[in-house]
Amino acid sequence: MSEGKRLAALILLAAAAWSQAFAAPAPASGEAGEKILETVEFKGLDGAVHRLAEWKGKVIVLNFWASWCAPCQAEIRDFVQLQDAYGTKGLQIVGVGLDEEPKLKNVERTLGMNYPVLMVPQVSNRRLLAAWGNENGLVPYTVVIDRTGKPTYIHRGPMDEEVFRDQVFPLLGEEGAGT
Amino acid sequence: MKLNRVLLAAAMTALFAAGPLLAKAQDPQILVTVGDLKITGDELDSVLASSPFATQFVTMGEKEQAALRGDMLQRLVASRLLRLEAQHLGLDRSETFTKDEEAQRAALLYRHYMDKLRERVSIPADTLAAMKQQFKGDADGLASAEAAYKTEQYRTVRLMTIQSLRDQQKIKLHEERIAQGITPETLLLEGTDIRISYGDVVDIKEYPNLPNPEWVKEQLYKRAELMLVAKTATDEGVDVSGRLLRYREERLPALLIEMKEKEWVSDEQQMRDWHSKHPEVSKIPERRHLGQLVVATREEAEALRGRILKGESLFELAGKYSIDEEGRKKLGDMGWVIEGRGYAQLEEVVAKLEDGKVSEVVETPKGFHLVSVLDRRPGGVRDFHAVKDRVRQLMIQEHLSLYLKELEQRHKVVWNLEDRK
Repeated sequence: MSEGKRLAALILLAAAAWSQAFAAPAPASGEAGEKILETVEFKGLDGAVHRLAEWKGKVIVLNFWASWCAPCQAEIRDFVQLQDAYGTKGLQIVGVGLDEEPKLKNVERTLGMNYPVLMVPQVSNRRLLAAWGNENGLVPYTVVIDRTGKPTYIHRGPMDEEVFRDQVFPLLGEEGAGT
Repeated sequence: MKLNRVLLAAAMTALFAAGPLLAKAQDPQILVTVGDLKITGDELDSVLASSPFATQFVTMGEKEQAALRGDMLQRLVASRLLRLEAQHLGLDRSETFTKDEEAQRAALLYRHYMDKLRERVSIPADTLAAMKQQFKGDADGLASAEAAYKTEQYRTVRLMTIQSLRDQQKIKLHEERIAQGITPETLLLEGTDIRISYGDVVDIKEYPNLPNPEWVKEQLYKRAELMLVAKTATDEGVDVSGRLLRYREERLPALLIEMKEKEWVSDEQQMRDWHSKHPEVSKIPERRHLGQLVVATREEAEALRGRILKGESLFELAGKYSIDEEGRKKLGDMGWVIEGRGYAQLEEVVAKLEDGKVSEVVETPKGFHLVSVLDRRPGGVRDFHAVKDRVRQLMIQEHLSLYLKELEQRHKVVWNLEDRK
C-alpha cells in the first residue's frame, strides 16, 4: 500500500477499529479527521479519560511506545525537549503506552515526561497499531496529525530531528519552521 | 564508614527522588571520595545510562532504582580503589600497560580522523532531492539509500586519502624481507617519520616461526594505515587525551584484577583444594513436587491432619482452608520445588518424608503447614571438571571481596550520603 493510500485508509480504519476496541460510538457523519479526534478515547496515566479532540487545533504528534523499547526511550527524551520548546507554538505530543501501567508510570517519572500519556489495554495492542497503519506492530511508531485532525505523516522507528523539522514544523506555522 | 546495601539504597532514594534521571544539578554532587578521586551524581547517572540495565532502569520503581544506583555506586568505588592501587603498584608504568596505551592512542586518533572524513562526505543537493522524490514517504528506504551513497563515497575518499598520505611520507615497503631468517628488528616499511619493523606487526612470542607471509603483509598494511593516519591526526593537533584518560581509568583496574587473579588462582591443585572444602558447589539439588496446606493455628492444622489421615484429600482441604492465597487458588499444588529453597523447618521434614504421606504439623513464620511429597527427581553430584569454571569464579569472588576491604584501609573512602538526606 502506498503511503498516500495508507493515510487515507488510516482515517477510516482508525475510526472503525477504535470504536470496536474501545466501544466509543463511531460518528455517523462529519469530516474524517473529526472522526479520529472524537472517537479516539482512552484512559491517561493521570487517571482521567481523554479524547484526542481535547487537543483540537493543535498539531498532534501521536507516539506509540513501550517501556521495554530502548529506541522509544531515547525518542521520548527528545520529545520532552521538543514539547518544552514548541508547546506554546501549538505542538502537542501525546504518548500512547502499550504496556503495563506501573512501568509506564515509572518511565513517565524517570524521564520527566511533560506531555500526556494514554494507555491501551495490552490485549488490544496489535489491533490498535494495525488500525493506525502499523501492521507489523513495531514501536516506536508515530503519527502526525494536523490542526484540523487529519493524519499527515506516519513514521516507523525513532523520529530524528530532521524528520521532525520536515514533517512537523511546517504544520506549526512560520514560528516553528527553521527555528 | 561502611554502608550496607539497604542503607545505601535508602540514601540513594533520598538523593535522587527529587528529579528525573537526566536533570542535572547545578553543582556536581559528590557522593563518595576514594583517596583523592571523587564520584559525582552525574557520573553515576552516566555509568547507569551506558550500562546493560539502562533501559530497564527507566521502567523500575523508585526503590528498585535506588537499590540499583547503590549497587552501581559500590562498583564505582571498587573500580576507583583498584585504579589507585594499580597506580600505587606502578602498573601504569609497566611495559604491558604502556604498549596497550600507545596502541589505544593510535586507534583513537585513527578513528577520530576517519570519522571526520566520513562526516565530510555529503550528498549533492540534486542527488538528495532525487532520492527524496524516489523514496517519498518511505523514511527507511530513504535512510538506506543515503547510507549506501555515503558509504560508497567514503570508501573512495578513504583510499585517496591513504594514497596521498603514503606519498607525503615517501613510504618505502620492503616486502621481500618477509622470509625465513627475519628478526623482530627487520625493517619492513619506512617513511619520513614512520618505521615499522617485523616485531611491530608479529608477536614473536606467539609466532616463533614465520607465519604465512601473505598474512604478515596484511598485518603490515593495516599497521601502516593506522600509523600514517595517527601521525597525520597528531600533526593536525587532534587531541584524544580525554578519551585516553578514560581508557586508562578503565584499563588499570582490569589490569590489576588480571594480575591478582593469576595470584589467587594459580593452578588446578589450588582449585581442587578449594573444591574439596566446598563440596556444595558440586551438588545438584533434589526437586520435589509438593502439596501443601497452611493454616493460622496448630489446633486447626492438627484437626485437618486428622481428616487427611481418615482419607480426605490434602488438596481439597487446601483449596478450602489454606491461608496462603496462591496455594488456595492452586488447591495446594506447589509444583516442583528445588531442595534448599524453602523454610529450614519444612526442608528438614520434606527430606525425610515418605512420598504420598502427610507430614506432621510444621510451624514456620508463615503459619502451620502440612506437606506431602507427590514425586521426586533425585539430585546428584557433579565432578570437579564440570564445576571448574564456577570454582574459579567463586575463588576470585572470595579473594576480591577481601582484597577490596584491604584496599579500603589503604585508600580512604568517604561516603557523603547522610548529610544530604
